[in-house]
Order: sequence, then C-alpha cells, then structure tokens
Amino acid sequence: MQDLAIETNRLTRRYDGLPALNRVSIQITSGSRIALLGNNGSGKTTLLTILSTLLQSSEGSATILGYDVAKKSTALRNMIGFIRHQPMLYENFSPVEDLELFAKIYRVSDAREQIRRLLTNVGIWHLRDEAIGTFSRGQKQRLMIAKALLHKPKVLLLDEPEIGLDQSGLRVLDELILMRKEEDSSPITVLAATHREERVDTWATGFVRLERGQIIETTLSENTE
Amino acid sequence: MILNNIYELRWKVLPPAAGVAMIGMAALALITAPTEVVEGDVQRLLYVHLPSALASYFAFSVTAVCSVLFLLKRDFKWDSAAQGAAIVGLIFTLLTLMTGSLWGKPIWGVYWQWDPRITTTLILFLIFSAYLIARKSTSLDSDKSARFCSIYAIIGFLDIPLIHMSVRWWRTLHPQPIIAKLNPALPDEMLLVTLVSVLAVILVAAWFITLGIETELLSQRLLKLKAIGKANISEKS
Amino acid sequence: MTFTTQLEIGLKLFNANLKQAWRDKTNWMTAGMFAITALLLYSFAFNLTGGLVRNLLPGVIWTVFLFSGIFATAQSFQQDRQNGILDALKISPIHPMTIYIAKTLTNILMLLLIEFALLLGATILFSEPLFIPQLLLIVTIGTIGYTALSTLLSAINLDRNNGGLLLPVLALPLLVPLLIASVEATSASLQEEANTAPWILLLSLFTIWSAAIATLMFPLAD
Repeated sequence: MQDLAIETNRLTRRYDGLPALNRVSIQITSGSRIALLGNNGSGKTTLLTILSTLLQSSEGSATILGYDVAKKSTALRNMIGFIRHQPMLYENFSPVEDLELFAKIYRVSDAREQIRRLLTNVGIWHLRDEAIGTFSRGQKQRLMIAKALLHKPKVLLLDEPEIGLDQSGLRVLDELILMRKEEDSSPITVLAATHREERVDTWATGFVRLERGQIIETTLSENTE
Repeated sequence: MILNNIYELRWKVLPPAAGVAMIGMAALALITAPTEVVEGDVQRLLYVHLPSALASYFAFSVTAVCSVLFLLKRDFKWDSAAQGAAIVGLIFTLLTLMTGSLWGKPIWGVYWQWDPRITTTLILFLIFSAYLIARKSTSLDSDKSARFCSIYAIIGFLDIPLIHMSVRWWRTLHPQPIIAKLNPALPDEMLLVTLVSVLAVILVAAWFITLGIETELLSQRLLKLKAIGKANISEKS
Repeated sequence: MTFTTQLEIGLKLFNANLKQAWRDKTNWMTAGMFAITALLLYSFAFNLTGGLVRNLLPGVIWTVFLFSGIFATAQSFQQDRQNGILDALKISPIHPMTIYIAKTLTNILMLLLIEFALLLGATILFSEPLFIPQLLLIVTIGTIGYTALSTLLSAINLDRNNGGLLLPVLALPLLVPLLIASVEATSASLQEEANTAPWILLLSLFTIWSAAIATLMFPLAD
C-alpha cells in the first residue's frame, strides 16, 4: 500500500447549524494530484481551509502525512503550502521583503537564492522592489505561487489557483505546480480546487466532486470503515 | 461518571429542596428573626442581600469554569452552560444591588455609596453584561464568538480580585466620611437565619443555573433542527 | 522550535510590524488626532488653566490615552486580517505567542510615541511639568497593561461588521483597576509630598497580570 498524504474521516463543518462539509472521507496517496471540483458553495474551500489548519472541523478528523490537522503541530505546518482565494501578502511590502520574512519564519536555508529563483520563475523578478499593494491580481497570484513554494512543502493545498492569471501565468502555474517534473525523490502532493474542468485532464491524476458538502463522484478509493 | 449521575438528579432534587429552603428562609427571616434594634425591619433585607451576592459569585464562577472547559474541549455544551450561568449571575447581581440600595437609603441616607464592595459588584455586572451582549449578538454556533467570549469571561472573572483591591485602595487612600460600622458581630439568632438564607438562595441559584443551561442547550438544538429543516426544504425544491 | 529561534523570528516579525505601521500610518495618525482633539475639548470644557489643572489633569490624561489607545489597538490586527497576513502567520510554524507578543510590542511602542508627544504638548499648553521621569514611568507601565489586553481581544474578529467598534466598549470594564491606579498615581506624582509607590505597585500588578493572562490565552484564541 502506498503512503497516504491526505486522509479525512467523516469530516464535517457546520455554519449556523448548516453543514458546509458533510461527512467527507477521502484518501489521497502521496505524490498524486487531485482536482477538487464542484459548484460554488459545494464545500471545496471549507475542506481546504480545514486541511490548512486554519479552520476547526465540527466533527470528524483529518490527517496530513500522518499528522492530525486539529493538533496544528509545527512539523505539519512546515510541510503545507496553501494558496487560497484571497492573497496573503503584506500590501505595503515589496515581494522580497515579504518573502524574506516568511523565509525566516519557515527557516529556509539559502533564502536569498531561493527567493531570486522563485521570483524569476514566476516572472515578477523585475517587480521585486515595488510595493505589493500596486500589483494586479495576477501579479499577486504569481507571488502567492512563489510564496507557497518557498519552504518546499510536501503537500500543496490550492483554492482556485488560476484566479487572475493570464496565459503566461497559467503556464507558470502548470510548470511549477500542476505539471512539474519532480526534481527530488520526495514527491509533492497537490489538492487543488478548480472551476476549469476542461484543463483537469491535462494535470490531475484523479478528482473529487463535491455537492452540498458531500462527495458525489470520485476516482479515489472510498474510505471504507 | 459520578458528576453526570448527580446532574441527572437535578429535576428531582433541586426544585423541592430549593422550595423547602425558601419557605424556611421566609419564615425565619420574617417571623423568627428579631427586629434589629437600630435599623428596624429594613435590616431583614440583608437576609436576601448577602445570599444574593454569594449566589452571583457562585454563578460567575460556573461561567468562568465552563469557559475554561470550552476552550480546552471545544464542545459547545460548555459554551451554553457558561451563558446560562451568566444570565443567572446577572439576575442575582441586580438583586444584590437593588436590595443594597433599598437598605442604604434609610440607613446611610443615600441609595448609593462608592464603597469598595458595591463598586466591585457594579463592575462585575458591567463585565458579564458585556460578555452576554457580545455572545448574544453573534451566531450561536460561531466558534470565533464562543472563543472570544470564553476568553473575555475568564479574564473578567480573574479581574475581580484586582478590581476589588483597586477600588478598596481608591476609597481608603482618600479622606472619606466615616460611615458607622454596622453589624460588628451578628447575634447568634441572626447568624442562624443568615446561614439558612444563604443555603436557600444558593439552592435557588443552582436550580436557576440548571434551567439556564438547559435553555441554552435547547436553543443550540433548535438551531440544528432548523438548519436540517431548511436543508430538507431546499433539497425538495 | 526552540526559544531562541522563536525569539529571532519574533524580532523579525516585530520589525515587519513596525515597518508596516510606519508605512501605513492612518491608524496611528487617527489615534493621535483623536487624542489631541479630545485634550483640547477637555481644556475648553473644564477651562484647564490656573489652579484647577492639577486636580483634573490626571483624569483628563488617562481618559484620552485609554480611549485613543484602545480604539487604535482594536484595529491593530485588522489590517493583517484584511491582507490575509494573519492567516499566513497562523498556518506557519511560528508559535501563536510570538505573533501576539510581536504585535503587542508594536502597539506599545506606537502608543508610547503618541502619549509622550501629548505629554510634551500638554506641558506647554497647561504650563504644568508633565514630562517628568516619574510620570513617564507611570504612563509606560499603564500603556503596557492596557495594550496587552486590548491586543488580545482584537485578535479575534468577533463580527465582520462591528467587531472593531464593539471591542473597545467591551474592554473598558476590565480596565477599571488600571484606570484607578493610573489616575491616582498620576495625581500623586503631580503633588509634591504625595506618595506614588502603592499606586505604581497596583499598576505594575495589573500590568503583569494582564500581560501574563493575555500571553497564555492567545494560543487558545487561535
């Protein structure tokens, strides 16, 4: 049996008593790239936010690489990269300032070199000293891609990473995350919510479709209890 | 668990016990207790006043303990319990302040004195009112609000000794009119009546607190049922 | 992570907070403006000249400091929340206490700047010696005390719509000991023969109490 990267067990989250996520059980093997599909309000964001340790589940449990998400351990947080709907950036900092702070927080070695490489790869190296507040949505999204990859996470949680990206931006996203060639032996696991279903076949190794907080269709093996 | 078993007995034990104790208290305080020589009948208010004050502290302790338990366990039943107890605490704080004022007018000549204990009680009332306003103005099952309010209740409760100390210093380090020391030592008979009153009012408070908790738990359940109903309707349409 | 790495990261974060506060001064300018305006209004209302000043100044100073300070710190996590930075920090391996301490220190520093400037201004306006070591000490201790609490309360966004407004009102009852101790210590320090020691002691007690509670509670607020 292959290693499990993400496992959820009857994961449930309620808002005002209404379940946004309803007993979702999935198992994602290490190294796979899973598309998370579904209409607005189907629970994709809720699932990703719980996995990112930002949101508490109402019931059920989830583990990433064997770590319980609810425990919010440092080791776990070091292994997760998260891109969500809204950017998570210091508006009045420059990209370099922002990334340098987070490189310190994640204790990235050779930070300077990493930042230069990542900013070049996402194509905003020339904007490195501009204030992030002046960026377009697409430029911010490119920066978020760089930020999510900064600490070499093992699991990437992406909530509609295409937002704001132009054609070349989408290529950057594909190259760096969705279709990236593995450089090292430890594979990266991707769980990405997306509305671009026509592109899913090009990168995903499987998918999960949610509706009203429940799984209605999936290529993953059902979590049998 | 023993605690659970005891809690299961609440409907059988608390109401009759509280009822008997209250009748005993009324009889003792109104008939048996001697009329105070200096203050007259108005002194009998103190048989309500002191127990109410103790009951409010009791209720707010329940709120604080339940808030700690909520933060540790993240189970909303503790949040409900904290709210239920806080309401009862507020009722008894208000009763304490009112009986105190009614007693103070004939004895001190004023309804209100900036005395340490009165001031502390008033601030206690403000703190837990703020707690309830904050909690009730947000969604019942919002864990953000529940967390915020739990933290607020704990800080508020731990703040009490400091408030009391600061208000006491504030009054005593100032020159102030000398208030006659009243009731330096209670006669035995009055002491007995006071003890019975404390017991009776604490029992009533305990019963009210269980009622309050039960109410909050039911509103939690109602919220869930409503949500399920809504979900069913939207599925059918 | 060890204590030293947390300390190092905390300093970086503190530095980043300061840089951010410096570049976007709106919040602090508003607090400063509010304080100046309130001080002027008080001086019109009470006619703060002559002998009366000494009796009224402590109360005036501390209500102005407390209100402007709490309103400013209530917003302190607001910007980080809107930028998404608070979430970015929360999912990072940084310890929640470090986030809290870095933010509180930033708030304390900014408020002290405003408060010292105001004391200097009030010294000139009311020709009372307000910029004296003893008073600066009292202001510093008091500011640490109330900032510790209000920063903690501001960390949790109670409600998207009125969280910022609700908070200051909620914080005030908790600050009664601080207000009493600060006002009394201040008025004692303005009198020649009076004794400030017990009030500074109470103030320090409150500050230690609130800082300790708040630091311990912040991770639970997460």
